[in-house]
Amino acid sequence: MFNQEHKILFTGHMGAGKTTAIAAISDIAPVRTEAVNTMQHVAAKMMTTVGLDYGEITLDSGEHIRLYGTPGQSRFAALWTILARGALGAVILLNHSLPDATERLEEFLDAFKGLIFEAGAVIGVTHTDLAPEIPFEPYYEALEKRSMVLPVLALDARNRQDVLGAIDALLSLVEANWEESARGTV
Amino acid sequence: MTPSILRVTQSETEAPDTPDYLWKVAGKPVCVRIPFTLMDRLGDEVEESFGSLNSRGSELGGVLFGRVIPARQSWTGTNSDPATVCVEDYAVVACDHTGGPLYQLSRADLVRLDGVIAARTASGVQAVGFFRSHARRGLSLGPEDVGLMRSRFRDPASIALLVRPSVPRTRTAAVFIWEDGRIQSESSHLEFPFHSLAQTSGKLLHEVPAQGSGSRLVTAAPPANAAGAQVVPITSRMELTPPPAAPPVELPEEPASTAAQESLRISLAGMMEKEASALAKVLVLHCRATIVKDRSYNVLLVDTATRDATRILRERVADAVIVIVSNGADREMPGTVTLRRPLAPEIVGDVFAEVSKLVAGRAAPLPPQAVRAPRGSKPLAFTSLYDLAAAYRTSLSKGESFVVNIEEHRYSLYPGRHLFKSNYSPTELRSLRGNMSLAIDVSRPADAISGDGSLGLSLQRLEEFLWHLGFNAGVGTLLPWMGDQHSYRLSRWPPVVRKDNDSTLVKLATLMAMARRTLRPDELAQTTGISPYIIADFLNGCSLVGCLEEFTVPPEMAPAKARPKHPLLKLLGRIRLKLGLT
Repeated sequence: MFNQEHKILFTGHMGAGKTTAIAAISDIAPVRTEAVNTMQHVAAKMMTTVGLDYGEITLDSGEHIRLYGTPGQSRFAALWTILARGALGAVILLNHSLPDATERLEEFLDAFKGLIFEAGAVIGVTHTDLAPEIPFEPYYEALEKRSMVLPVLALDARNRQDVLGAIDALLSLVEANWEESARGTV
Repeated sequence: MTPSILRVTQSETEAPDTPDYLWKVAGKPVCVRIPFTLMDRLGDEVEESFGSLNSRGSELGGVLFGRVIPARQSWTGTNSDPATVCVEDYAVVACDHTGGPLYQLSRADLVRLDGVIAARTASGVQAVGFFRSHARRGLSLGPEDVGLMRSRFRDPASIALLVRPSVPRTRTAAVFIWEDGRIQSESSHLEFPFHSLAQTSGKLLHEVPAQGSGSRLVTAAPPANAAGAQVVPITSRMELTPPPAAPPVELPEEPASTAAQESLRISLAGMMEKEASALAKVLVLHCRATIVKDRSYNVLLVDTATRDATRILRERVADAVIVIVSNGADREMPGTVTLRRPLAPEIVGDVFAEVSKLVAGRAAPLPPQAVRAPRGSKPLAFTSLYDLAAAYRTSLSKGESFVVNIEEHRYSLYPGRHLFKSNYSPTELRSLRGNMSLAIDVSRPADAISGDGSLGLSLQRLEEFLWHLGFNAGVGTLLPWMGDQHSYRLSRWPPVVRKDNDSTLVKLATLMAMARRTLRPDELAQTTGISPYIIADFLNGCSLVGCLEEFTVPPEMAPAKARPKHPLLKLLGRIRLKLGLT
């Protein structure tokens, strides 16, 4: 078991809070590959991830859980596929205040379909304080269209407890998924 | 005089000078006497186990001991008096609960039960049946109960006693008896309130002088439509309107002195340890309160900042007064008393003077059933969230808009549009949970469907309201249209975690989401280790929202094979340990 490596993916569109969420739970200072944001119309921030973010959790047994944050722009989709390989599961982050949040969710559900069915994913909805009146219903419908029943959790990516809540749900999901596979119903 | 008659006389002469409850149904071969003292003791023990965090709300059970007064025969040779089972004591027999929270005895448990019976029998006491608490829907014996009766309590006078905790209503019990070699396990001939106060305070009850001695039997006068039964069966919880023939039960007025004497029994379970310790001293010294650590409290102090506050509130004793300890700026929760920091003795004293009045008020008996106006003429009225939830499901959800006032909080509901508007949050329904004397009325139609910013009214998703209504309506029991033998599947993620992200509910929803098969409530409890009462609340919420599929006949499933724990599951455990996730 010693020195075995596992990974959890943080994905989502630009400005959803992937980098922040990793920083909230990583044991090490996250490694960031950021560049000046040239898409200010999508997310109003100076810098954005262009390669990937990397954080790490070291278990008592010595194993490392690697936390990868994918770049948010769809032009990096090839990298998403590579990162998804062998992951324990994914946390898909959504900026609730964006008008096209549902379309973005659909994009990620389709891109990570394989990982979602094989392992599991949790939808973390961020920035809910900016749009409290907008319902989650469109997200449920997007999932329902794909016959997916995934946890949809409101979270603040800056809050460690919120991010851990999403990880907890993801672990439960992976566990339940594995149990069901072993039972032979999948 | 036949020997049997002689024994009857002798036994009744020896009966203790305490009132008993008499369970007696005309034409049945057995009647049962239960001393009120034993009834209350056993009932309290059942409720304590029900609310105990250690037992996780599991059922408990054991053996009933006492004696049997044989049937008295008339000169014609027919039985004129049935055999009387006098329950005099009971012994709890521990259950391993290897199969879940239900009281289903394993082989080791049965050995233990046999040992208890043997030990008592050796000292001259007779085992007259068994009892168990009932944390399931309805009040009926399961196949394993009937098996236990057949294997251990075959005597025709043996009985089974089920006790259902007082959630959400009166603590209720049912007796099951042998009749011609079989037991009617689906339902008892008579269910009855299992509490001495409930038995002695109603006008329908009266004292019948016992023959011979100072022993008193307290029995009920037969209702006109109850075919000889001596106690009025409690109204089915599924009924939305009372049956026309049943006259309303009027309870006598509570003597003022009783209410005034109600002492403060305070639980500080929902508070930080250090602060609780300091506050306890003030409460004991200045307010003459008693600090309790079990579920006998009538006041619960909760600091909403503590980690378990939500769970503690959810699992609280229904009639307790809730005191929220908060910081200066926190908003007050309706239906609760707020105690603001700093907790100076004079502030605590003032607040608890108010709490004492509330406790005294709540000690008064509650109206036994909802008062409802005829539909169509006047607004519908209800006294509990349970009745409101049931009415929503059966009639109110059919499209037309309506206004529901809950304790003067107005919610305009538009079922056809899946919206509601109010300047109150439905999360406040949590504080009304289990309260059976609410002022709820429903009138049609609601005003125009538009938000009114000037009044603070905004349109919100109806499912938010329905979730909180459903989750808080059953207080640990399934709503009337659901069944504990039915199996369920999530059709979509419920709006459980939008606001409070309760990890227990996330875990439940996650399991159901990934199960890809239907699960019964007991299977969910067994798989997750979560209390069946929380599971019932969760399913109620999901059902009212409409994100639950229900199956009366679940698809055939192969049982899971026993196998060594997979390395992946061990890894998940290590991650949880590292991150401090339970």
